[in-house]
Amino acid sequence: MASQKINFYLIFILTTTLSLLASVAPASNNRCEALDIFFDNLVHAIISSDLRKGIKVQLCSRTASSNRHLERERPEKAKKELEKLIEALENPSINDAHAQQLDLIRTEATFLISSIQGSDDYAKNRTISGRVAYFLHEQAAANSIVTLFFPESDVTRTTITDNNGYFYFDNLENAGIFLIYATDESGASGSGSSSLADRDSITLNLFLDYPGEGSISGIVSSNYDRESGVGFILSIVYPDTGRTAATLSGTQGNYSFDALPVEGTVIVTAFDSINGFAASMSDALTSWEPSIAIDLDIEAPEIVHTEIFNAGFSEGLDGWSTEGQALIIDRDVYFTNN
Amino acid sequence: MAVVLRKKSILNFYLFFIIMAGVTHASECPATDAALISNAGNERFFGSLSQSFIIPPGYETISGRLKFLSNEWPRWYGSEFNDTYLARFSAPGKVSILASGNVNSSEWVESSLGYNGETPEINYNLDVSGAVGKVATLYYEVRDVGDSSIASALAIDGVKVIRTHQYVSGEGGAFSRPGIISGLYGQAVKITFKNVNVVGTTISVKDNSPFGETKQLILAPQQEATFLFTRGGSEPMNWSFNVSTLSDAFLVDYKVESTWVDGMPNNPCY
Repeated sequence: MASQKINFYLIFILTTTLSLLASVAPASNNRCEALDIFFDNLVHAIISSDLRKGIKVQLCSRTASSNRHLERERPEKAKKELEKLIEALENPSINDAHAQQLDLIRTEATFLISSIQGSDDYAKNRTISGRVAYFLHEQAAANSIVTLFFPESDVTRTTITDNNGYFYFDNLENAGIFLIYATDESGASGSGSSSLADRDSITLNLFLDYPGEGSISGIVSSNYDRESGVGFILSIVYPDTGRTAATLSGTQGNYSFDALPVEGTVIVTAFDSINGFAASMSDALTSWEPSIAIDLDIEAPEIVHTEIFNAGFSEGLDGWSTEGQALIIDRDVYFTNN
Repeated sequence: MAVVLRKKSILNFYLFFIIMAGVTHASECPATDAALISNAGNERFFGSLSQSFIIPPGYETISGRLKFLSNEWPRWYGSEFNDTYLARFSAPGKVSILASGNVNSSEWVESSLGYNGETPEINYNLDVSGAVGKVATLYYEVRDVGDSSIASALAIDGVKVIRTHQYVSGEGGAFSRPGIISGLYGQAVKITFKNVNVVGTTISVKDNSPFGETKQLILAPQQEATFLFTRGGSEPMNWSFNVSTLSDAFLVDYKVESTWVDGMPNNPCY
């Protein structure tokens, strides 16, 4: 009877231990779950590899630690964890047969390290430069005042062009979309917009024009809730000449461009820089219709894919939203293959 | 005789093997097609194609090709009937017009693709590494201007995504005066210049391919900048870039990275 009891307890302890082990093991693997999307490719490379479970757990732990450090804004420590992860791949107990998988993990980890490093470096080195010239005769606009404005951070910088019309802003701490204006003593002006997000150097050229008779005005609306008190960024491009103009709308979406050249076709784009959505419209400024109204409605996408889907149209138009006529064509007929 | 036959059969076997290897290799290329959007018959006078997606880590470059087609050419060329096309990328904090134009601003040739005229291929590319983790939208449109009765269209080739690890280091060197970088490279070429002089300099890089882009920058002392060029076609392909400056003092190092460099197997997939 007593031995039966002992056996019962032994079985109970064994079962409990096994179930505990079973619950602990996935928990260790689970360290690779619910991490920031930033780590997705690395996690996928680890999980899908044929490495031993123990090694995977170790790599997941390093990845999770890196994620935690990033969340707490400790990029140096986040990088350190990824460097240790790469060191762990050199472990002699890992079979050479996994060389390709190890390479992939190493590549993904190295990329993340460079991304974390890059985000620090970019902040130190961001520059915006370019040249201001008169549109009519393309001569350099020396001593023009160039103003740079980051609407999200409300930061403004100003400089003056040199004798060749060049301007240069460095040590820009702000990233994101910006508007840039240039004007000279005589009242000629030009403007444009761009964004400073992924590279540390941007060059853009601005043309100065004397005030024209054209104007475009309208209202930008959106079909989604957005932060109040923030305007939209509006830009114009004249495809015929490459001239540009940019402005910021009022908080209610009302905007206007005045004194524009009356020169033909314009493409107007409105951009919500916080949410990243945009809308465009084309029209023409002509001598018989120099003032036009263009209202733009920005729509939020109905579907957001986890990454680009059906990029090569091999599944027809699946994943793409269309308006008007859209069809699949033979790329070899429409495009050359070299 | 028997020896000759045997040699022939071995030769045939190798030929068959080589051909099959080629076929197999080409068949491994991802199936890709293209799309055509048109402003014909749409009551809002435009046609569009778009997709929103999250930029995953490792995405570095998005590139593609377009071709503008129109019935407004040649009769209405130079008039106010001036349809437009647009390709744009947007994400929080970043908007970029990838390509834009209209009938009057384009170069035309007669077309056999269902429209009177077609433009040369229009290449675009964009560095998206700064938008990782963000929701991005790729958007293409063709739009009526001036009338709604004459159709235009935009052919959109498959979108290519180039991941960071696909770029492999190629040659490097230095320039103290204008020069040329040329060689066999892949569909995407990144050239990173570093100004090693103590004064700033302008730098201009012209892709000598037909309709190749020219990119320029001002480089501060010790500053680096990367220029990106892409083109469709099987790898390797010939590239040639003119590097020039407007500055008197010019001293830059450069290094090339590409999706194909010497020593890699040919890639028939375009």
